Amino acid sequence: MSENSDDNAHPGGLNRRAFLKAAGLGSAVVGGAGMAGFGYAAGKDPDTYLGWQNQEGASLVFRRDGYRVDKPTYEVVGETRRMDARTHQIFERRGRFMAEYRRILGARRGMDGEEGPEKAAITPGDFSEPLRSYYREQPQDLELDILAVEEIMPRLRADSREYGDRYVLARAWSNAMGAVGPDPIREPPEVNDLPRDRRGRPGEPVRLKDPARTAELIKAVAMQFGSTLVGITELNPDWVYGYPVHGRGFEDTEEPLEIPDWWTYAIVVGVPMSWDPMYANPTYGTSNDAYSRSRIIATRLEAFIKTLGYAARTHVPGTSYDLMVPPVAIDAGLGEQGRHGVMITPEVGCNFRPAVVTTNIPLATDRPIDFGVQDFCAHCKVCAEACPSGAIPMGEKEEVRGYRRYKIDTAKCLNFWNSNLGNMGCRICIAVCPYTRKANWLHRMALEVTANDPTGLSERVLTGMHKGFYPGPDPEEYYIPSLGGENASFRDPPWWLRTEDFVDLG
Amino acid sequence: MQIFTSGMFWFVEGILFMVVILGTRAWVRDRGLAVSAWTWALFVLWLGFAGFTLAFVGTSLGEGEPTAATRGGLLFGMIAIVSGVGIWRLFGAGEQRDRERVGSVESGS
Amino acid sequence: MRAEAEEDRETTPRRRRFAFLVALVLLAGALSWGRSRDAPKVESPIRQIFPQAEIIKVREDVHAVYDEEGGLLGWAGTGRGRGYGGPLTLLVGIDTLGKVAGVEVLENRETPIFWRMVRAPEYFRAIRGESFDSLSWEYADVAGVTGATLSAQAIVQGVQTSVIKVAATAFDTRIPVPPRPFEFGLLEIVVLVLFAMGILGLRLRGPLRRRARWASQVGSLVVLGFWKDSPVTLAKISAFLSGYLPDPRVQMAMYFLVAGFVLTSFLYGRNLYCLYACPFGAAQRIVGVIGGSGLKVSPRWARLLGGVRDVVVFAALFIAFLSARPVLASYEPFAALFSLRGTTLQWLLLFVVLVASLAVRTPWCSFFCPMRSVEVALQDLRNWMKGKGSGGPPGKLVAGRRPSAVEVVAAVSALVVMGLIVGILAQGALYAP
Repeated sequence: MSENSDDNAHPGGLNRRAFLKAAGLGSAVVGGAGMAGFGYAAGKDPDTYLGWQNQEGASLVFRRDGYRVDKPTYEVVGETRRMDARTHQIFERRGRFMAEYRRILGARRGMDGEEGPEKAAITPGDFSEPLRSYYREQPQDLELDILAVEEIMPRLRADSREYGDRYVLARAWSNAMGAVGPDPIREPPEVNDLPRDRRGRPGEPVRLKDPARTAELIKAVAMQFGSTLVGITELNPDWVYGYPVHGRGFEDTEEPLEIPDWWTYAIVVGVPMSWDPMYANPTYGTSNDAYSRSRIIATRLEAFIKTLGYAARTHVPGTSYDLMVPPVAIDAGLGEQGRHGVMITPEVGCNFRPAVVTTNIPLATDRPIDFGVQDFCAHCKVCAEACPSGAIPMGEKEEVRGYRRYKIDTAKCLNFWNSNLGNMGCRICIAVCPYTRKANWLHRMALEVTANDPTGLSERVLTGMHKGFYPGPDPEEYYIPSLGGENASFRDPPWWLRTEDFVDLG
Repeated sequence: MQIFTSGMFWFVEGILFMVVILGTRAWVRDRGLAVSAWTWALFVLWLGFAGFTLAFVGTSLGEGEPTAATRGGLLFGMIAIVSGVGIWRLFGAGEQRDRERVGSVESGS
Repeated sequence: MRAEAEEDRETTPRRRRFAFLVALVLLAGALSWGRSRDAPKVESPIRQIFPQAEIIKVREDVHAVYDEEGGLLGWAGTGRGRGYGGPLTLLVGIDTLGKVAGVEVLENRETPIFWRMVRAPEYFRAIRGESFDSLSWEYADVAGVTGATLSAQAIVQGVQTSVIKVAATAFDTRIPVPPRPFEFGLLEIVVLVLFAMGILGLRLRGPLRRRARWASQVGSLVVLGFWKDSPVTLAKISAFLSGYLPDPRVQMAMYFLVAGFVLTSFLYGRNLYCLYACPFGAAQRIVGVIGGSGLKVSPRWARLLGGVRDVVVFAALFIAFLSARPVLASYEPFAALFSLRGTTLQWLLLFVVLVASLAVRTPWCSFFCPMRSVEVALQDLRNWMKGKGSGGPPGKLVAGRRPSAVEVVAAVSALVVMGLIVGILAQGALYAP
């Protein structure tokens, strides 16, 4: 055909055929090798471990080692201090505030014999320490705490009665997730942490060969226990609460927390929340799906370590902590801190609810990572724009207890938790973050590009596309109707949480 | 749905891609066009981009993000069409079309 | 070819002039009606700030607020800031101790996206309780200032003017206002350079002029387009016409652009903004080079499309004047291209226009851009002042020939574009806060 006539007409024809033959042979070799490689990968693929995919490492879609750095991506800019959890940990403070507030109101009513405008005259001086000094320094937090009790909770109760039926499936799901889990730790470290055998006698630690091998072992079993990501670090004492919170077994919560010797290392485990309900925050999402699983994983790890004869103590969500978990997780190389204060991981974005096990089992530690989050958050600000309470700053980082970080207004944040009909919390900042995307080719590619682009151009372009292509409701719309909103959620819920499809709402 | 995530799928896509190239080569030969290696390279890149655009729309719809599918489809589709026409003209095909010429309106140079 | 085009433009049929005058009268009426509704009510906002307010008296330029027993609660003053879409009017309440009691927004003309970003309620909450003489006038205090600078500055200005009024009248204190610095940066310089190249281009011939124009347009595409996203839009013209002049210290580039547009159309008869400084025109021309853009449109079709466009521009301005919100006039899809921001309709419009640019030379510029209507109006005015008489009646659309497939596609595309434009205007008007 034409090829032959080309041969006769042009002397180069013979060269072309030789080229095609060589190319054909080369293609066969390469193609064959490809088929072999495909076969091998299919044999090893964690996705074939049906039911145990993540346990075999299917979630480890990011090669962390290319991004390890010596120091984490937050800076120390002053004298560092531990956090006084009695005043600065929002749940602890709110609990103390509520108790004292009721006492103050009760005392006043007793004196005057009537209720009325004396509520407006509550001052920091009415409280005992440490709240008194705290409210003197941060009077706006006293305002916000009072606002929660006087304005927000009553309206939430009223709107729950009127609109709550629409979310009964989401509530059922959340309650179900929270119905399972280990008992919280109620003993102090000296009682709880130390290993004991079945008779209650102190356990003998097994002689482990090598901290690096032990670390690999711990990570493998943590994955088998169900953890999506695992990291290990030496515990930085700055992250431990200066004073403990209620319920962790410390006798005197007004005494500083002395860090036990056996809190040498911190193992960080955790799982993401279920994706589709998470995107439908705040009304249809919950933290319980991840919290309960993280609790179980941490408690299993504690038991494993104690059986080997070493000390271990879990620090788990919702509030059973003696330390701040996100900075420990950042030190362990699991991610970097984002603008919203939550840790951003390269695998699952901010959709990660970690727990910590403090222990003295000898371990090699992981180095922190840097995959471009600081530059990204500097310009993105999607979370700050979407936050209904305005708790996330639009501006620069500030100094907080000697560290430079974005300062979150936790009182405003918690007040919004009480201003929506969803399950305890909000989680909108997690849902809108560009890093929080499912692990398909598109978002994995976007992550790899931004993690490796030194110019920052791809970050700006991708942020622009994210804001343009993934719009959401206005921040005000997330509130309950009594507070000016429309019970909006970021995205529609998955079909199995759409109450109106299953329940006759009348 | 599993068909699309198997290795076999990509094997078949690879074959289809090669057929597209061979078909384009035949079309080029028929028209007697002289096409440089650079143009071929651009064409291959363009095929990748066009595939990306379609995959983007599909992925967005699969994720339940129709707004992203529409707007992304428009943005990337626009780029694909414009660059596609440009490459088509680089192939030399554009010169051979006759056009009707009616009066002009545009002012300026 | 060119002579025919010139003839089309320079003659002004009597019918067109009459329609133009009617349009002007209607627009002036809408403008005055819109402006007359400018003074917003203050009673309800004052009650939001002072819940126990019962009696409100006007004292000079502020309001004194009393409770039902006649006890003084505080004062309220209004203040204006110049925002992106026009003036922003705020009401600031100050209590008897001189502390800020609250801030209410009386008028807001910003585009919703910017208003959302600027988080005004948080700023208002932050300054509550502060003494009026210790307020810092930092724009950086307003959250979101980097994304919506003009809105943030307008808020601070509004609060500032209110507080100054109350301080002077009620507390007999003069608050010194730090002078706002001039902002003269890359954008301003680039705009001046672009117009300079245009004026230079007028004196050049042939290839040199073409090169000057290309260089200028590429520069515009990069700076005015993708970097700063600040082309001239109908919203800007509408704001100027409404008397809502932006602050020249902060928006000097926009003054240059609008002035250049108007002056060059009027003085030279050639709109140097369109030819040398418009980033969207540049984008269309680049696509046109890629696609060949050989398709020409007959003058009769062009006149028909131009007529429809003039009607749409009139409607857009009418809506903007009537509601006293200049941003409602904008139907251009520029932000979708330069900032990836826009509604789905705007994206669709951008898509159709840029794809059409492959076949037709700068279709937006020629047939759909509102600036062209403004430019033509200015040129008509110039011709009228120069005494050029009206020409003969416009040619009828030739009905004899069957349209080719290409022409059908082109006509359908034009219809689609017009539909999208009307849709965008309707969307803006119906969903305006």
